[in-house]
Order: sequence, then structure tokens, then C-alpha cells
Amino acid sequence: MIELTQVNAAHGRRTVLALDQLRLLPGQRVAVVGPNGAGKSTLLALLAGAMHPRQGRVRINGLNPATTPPGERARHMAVLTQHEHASPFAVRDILAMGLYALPKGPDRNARSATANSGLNPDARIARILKELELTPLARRPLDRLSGGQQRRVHLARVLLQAEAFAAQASSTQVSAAQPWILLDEPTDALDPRHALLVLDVLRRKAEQGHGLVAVLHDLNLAAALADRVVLLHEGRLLADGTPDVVLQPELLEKAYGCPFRRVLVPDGEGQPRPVLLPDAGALSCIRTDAHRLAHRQDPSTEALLRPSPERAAVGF
Amino acid sequence: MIPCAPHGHALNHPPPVPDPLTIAPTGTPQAEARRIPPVLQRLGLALGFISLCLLAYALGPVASGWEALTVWTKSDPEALRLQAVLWQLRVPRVLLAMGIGASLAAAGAALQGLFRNPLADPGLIGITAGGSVAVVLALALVSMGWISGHPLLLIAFGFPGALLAVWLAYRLGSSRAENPGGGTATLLLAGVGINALAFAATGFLLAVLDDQSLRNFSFWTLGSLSGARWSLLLPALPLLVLPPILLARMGGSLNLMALGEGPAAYAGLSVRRLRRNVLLLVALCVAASVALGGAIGFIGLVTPHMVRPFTGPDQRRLIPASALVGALLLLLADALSRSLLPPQEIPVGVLTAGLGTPVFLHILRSARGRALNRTAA
Repeated sequence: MIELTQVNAAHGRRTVLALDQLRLLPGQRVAVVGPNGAGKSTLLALLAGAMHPRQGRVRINGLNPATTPPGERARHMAVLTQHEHASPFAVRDILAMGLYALPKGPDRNARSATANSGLNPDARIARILKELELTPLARRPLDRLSGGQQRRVHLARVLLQAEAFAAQASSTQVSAAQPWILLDEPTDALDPRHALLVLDVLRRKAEQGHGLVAVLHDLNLAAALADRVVLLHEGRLLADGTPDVVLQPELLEKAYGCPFRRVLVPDGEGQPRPVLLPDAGALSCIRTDAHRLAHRQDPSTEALLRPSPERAAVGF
Repeated sequence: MIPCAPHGHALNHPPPVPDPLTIAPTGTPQAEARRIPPVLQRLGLALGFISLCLLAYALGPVASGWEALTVWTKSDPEALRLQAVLWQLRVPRVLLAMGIGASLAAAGAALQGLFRNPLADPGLIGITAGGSVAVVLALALVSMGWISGHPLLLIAFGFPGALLAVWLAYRLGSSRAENPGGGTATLLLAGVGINALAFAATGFLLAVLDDQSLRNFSFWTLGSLSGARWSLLLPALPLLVLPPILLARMGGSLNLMALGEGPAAYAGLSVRRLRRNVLLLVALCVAASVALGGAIGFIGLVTPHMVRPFTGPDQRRLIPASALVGALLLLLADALSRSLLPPQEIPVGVLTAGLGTPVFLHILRSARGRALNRTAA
């Protein structure tokens, strides 16, 4: 379980996130949405332990992520950051790095073999590669792949880490807590088909009992993935609930500052399914705002623009 | 915003994907080498290594060629004299060259992995300079009779100097999320700064030193192995041999640094501990090398780049292979330095710099170097 209580996070003096109470349960698929700078990545950084809160308590499976040693923390969460690096390592070597925190030595094979799924590391890697359609790329150097392919490789590494420790936790029964999967923009740089593929894989991981927290920009992908949506606005929780409740035009307009329209389109089974669109009038309304700002002629600007004798004297 | 297709709809017909459940081991670069059985590969490498060692041992102004080997079977006075020369001068020199070469090359490979930067080299980024200032300071104290000239004492002096320089280089020049200005350019500029400071400091010490130490000074700044004696080598040998072995054992952890510091930590790597250990060991490698052989440049830069096409980026192979090749490189450079213009000796640092600079410029021009400049920006 993830628990945030009275949390206040700041960059320098500026508060970037203030949350009274947020409790996320294992097996939930949580999408974190909100405009740029709303505190989405900050929330993820707090959960991942990359950032200390100025005040308040962050607990993930009962641990304080900011003070837990990395080796222990890796058993309780797998994290995909927004900017992952390219490197000359082959794809399957990158994936093997997701298993770094597994116990080393002869113990490791024995333990994996007795794990519930009965898979050794190589078979695990092969399976996740197949799930994310990466098998043909397994031996290619990562830095020779496209941005979207690299994104899927890193996602596969993160999912592999979560899965391996889930199996380990259940086989050793040290703790029944499943690792959390924390993702910052998992569908970034992915084409629509692979974005859907990733969502499908993520849904299945959640069905296996992993808690899932994903920062997403695309509200429709968020609706497709999540059973719970957390909407942030200016560092505060604006709404929290099922996609049907949170992804409503009025709330979104309040958060994003532009009108939204919710239209129903038939899905694969002919059932109506809501799709969110920025309102057709939104573009012109934004453009009007921008135009007004750009051509604003308040007295102070005018004063600055007017040639003045003193400035001319010093060469302005 | 792009409207999303109904969930699952697009996934009904994924393209056919080959389905090998187990995947053959990686190795695009080393696929060719894999056709030869591993036992033969290792045997071949060992034979090549030993014969190159013997070649280097047999090069020199006296007792060169076969004579270096056959002289041990004779017992006339001239042979005994040559035996003494070989045993007292050349054998320790060969061992010292190998130790320093291995040490510097392993340090370079580990630094390149830690900094995620192909131009991290102890010489270029000022670690060698930091160590040499401290060692020259120690020499100044020796010449004033304040301390003894024991090799371990010189290493003890060089260590903090090298450590300070490597720490500075790390703060300034590694590309990290929290250090967006860090990158190849910053790293090299930091090296320029540290090298200039070291030059000034040695220049100051130069003014203080007496004649004998002046000669030592030029020896230290150019790098030379002509001072190799058993008395110098034996106490220092563990400090040359152990750090590369320990660095090689950290190869698996260093591999994770390729993910970047944040992701490596999320995967379970204690980045701070690894960084501390690697920096300490690199400083030890450099301090020992500088104290015994002076500022020998470019071995740490060039060797990993020579080795990488054969080992791939995996540090578990790269560091030991670099150590072996670095040992050979310095050994051969030193053999050349004493046999090119006999009886005069060219300082070995001059040779390594002369041969290393073109390689350095090539790396700067290469796609890898450019790519790194981009990611660092």
C-alpha cells in the first residue's frame, strides 16, 4: 500500500506539491494526470524516494522510500523515469540489469527455479521481450534503436524487475507485499499501436496484483488504462476517483484552462465509449488569449518601449 | 488530443513474432570470436601475452634478443654481470611496466563507465596531475631531508592529491541529471584547469628543489620506468595489482551506471557506495603509478577503446581485458623507449603521449564522442 499523509514537497522555497491524504492500494491502476507543472513528476519522485518531502509522511509497503537503501527499495518498487538513457549494451543485457537486485550467487538459480512461475532469469527475459514485441531486437545495441523502441526496452526492464521480485516475495514468503510499478510517461514516444500494447501489458500486470501508478499526458490513454485517476492542479489534488468521475469536461477545464468535450463513440462491441477532445473552439480561445497577451499595451510596457533620451545616451 | 481507439481493438492482430523461448547469448561484436572454442581462445591469448612479455624483456641496450634468455645458462664472469643487470634492472622494470599499465588501463575503463564518458582518462582529466603535484611535493621534502624516499611514502602522498582531483573531475564533469552542465566539454575543461594548477604548483616546487631533485622532476613529469628496482617494486606491487582486480569485481555494478544514476539506483544499485569505491580505487591506481613511474598519459584513455570492439561494453570483461592490454602496451612502449636510441632512453611518457594523442583526436572526431556531446548538452 502507498500512503501519503500531510505531504508538502518543495523545490527551494516554492511548494510544488501539497497533499493531505492519498492512499493507493495494491492492484489498483492509478493514472496521475494534470497540466504541465501540476506536480505529477514530483509525486512520482516522492514515491520513488528520489526526493524528500519537506513535511509529512510517505510510505510504500510500509517503508520510507527516501531512506530505504536502494537494494531493499528495488524489491518494493520498479521505476521508469521520464528520461532514460541510451547505451551500447544489447537489449537483453539492459533487461538483465532489471534483475540486478536479485540475490547473487548459486542461491539465485535455486531460488528462481523454485519460484512459483518456475522461470530462470533467461526465460523471464525472453517472456517479457515477447510480451512487448521486442524479441527481434534482443541482441541489438540499445543506442541503435529508435526512441520508441528504447522506451519499450526500458519499460520491459522495469516490468521484469517488478515481476521477478513478486515471484521472489511469494516463494520466500518474506513479505507478501507486491512490488509497485511507478511509471513516468510510459507511452512517451510510442506510436498509437505500441501505446495500446503497453497499456494492455500494464493492465495484465495489475491483474497479477501489482499496484500501478502512471503519470500520463494523454487523457484517453489514462481512461483506457486506469481504474482510478488522480487529477493534480497547481500542486494540489483537484479530483480523485474513477475515470468516469474525474475525466469530466468541467473538472478538466478547471485544471487545464481550456474547454473539453466528451463525445461517445462506439467501441469494438458497439457499446458507447466516451472520448475526450479539447473543444473545437479551444484553439481559437487560446489563440485569442495569446494574441491579447502579445499585444498588451499596458503603461509599463509602453514606457519601456518608448525611446528615452537617457537610454539613447548610453547606446540603447 | 488524439482520440483513442477502443481498448484492445488494435491488439487483435499483432504481427507474427519469432518465438525462441531462450535467446542465444549476446555478442554482436564478439560473434566472430565465438566460433573458436573458449579454451583455445584463452590458450592463444595466454601464449600471445607471454611471448610479448618475453619480447619486451629481450629488448634493451645490453643482453638483447636470444642473449637475454641464453645468458642464464652460462656462468662466465661476463654472463654473470649480464645476469645481474637483467635481474636487478630489467626484470623489475618489466614487472613495473606491466603493473602500471594494468593499473592505469583498469582505472581508465572504470572511470569511463562511472562517468558515462568515453574521454574519462586519469591523465586528461587531471588525476595524474593531482597525484604528481603531491608526489613532487613529497620529493621536495625528501630533498630537504625531512622525510625518507620510501615508495610507500610517495604513494601515501600521491593518494590524497589524486583523490582530490578525481573528486573534482567527478563533480564537474560527469553527465548526471542533477548536473546538467556536466559533460565531455566540462570534463575536459576541468582537466585543463587541474592540469594548469598542477603545472603552476610543480613550477613553484621547482624553484625550491636542488639539482638532483630537478632531474627527478623532469623524470616525474615525463614519465619513466628507468627507476625500477626490486626495493621500489616489491612494497608497491600489491598497490598496483590489487586495485585493478577489485575494480574488475565491480564490473557488474558499473554496468548499471549505463542506465544513468537514477535508474541504476531504482534497479537496486547503491550508487553512492559504488562511486566512492571506484573513486578511491582509481585514486590508488593513479597514486601508485605516479609515485613509481611518473605521469604516464593516455594508457587509461586508449586501452579501453582498443579493447571495447572485442569485449563489448560489459565492464566485467572490459576491465580485466583492459588491464591485460594496458600491461602489454606500457611494456612494449617501455621496451621501445630503451631500445629506439640506445644508449639513450626516451621517457616512456613521451612515447605514450606521442602514440596516444592521435587516438585521442580520433575519438573526439568519432560518432561516439559527438553523441556524448549531444547527450551532455
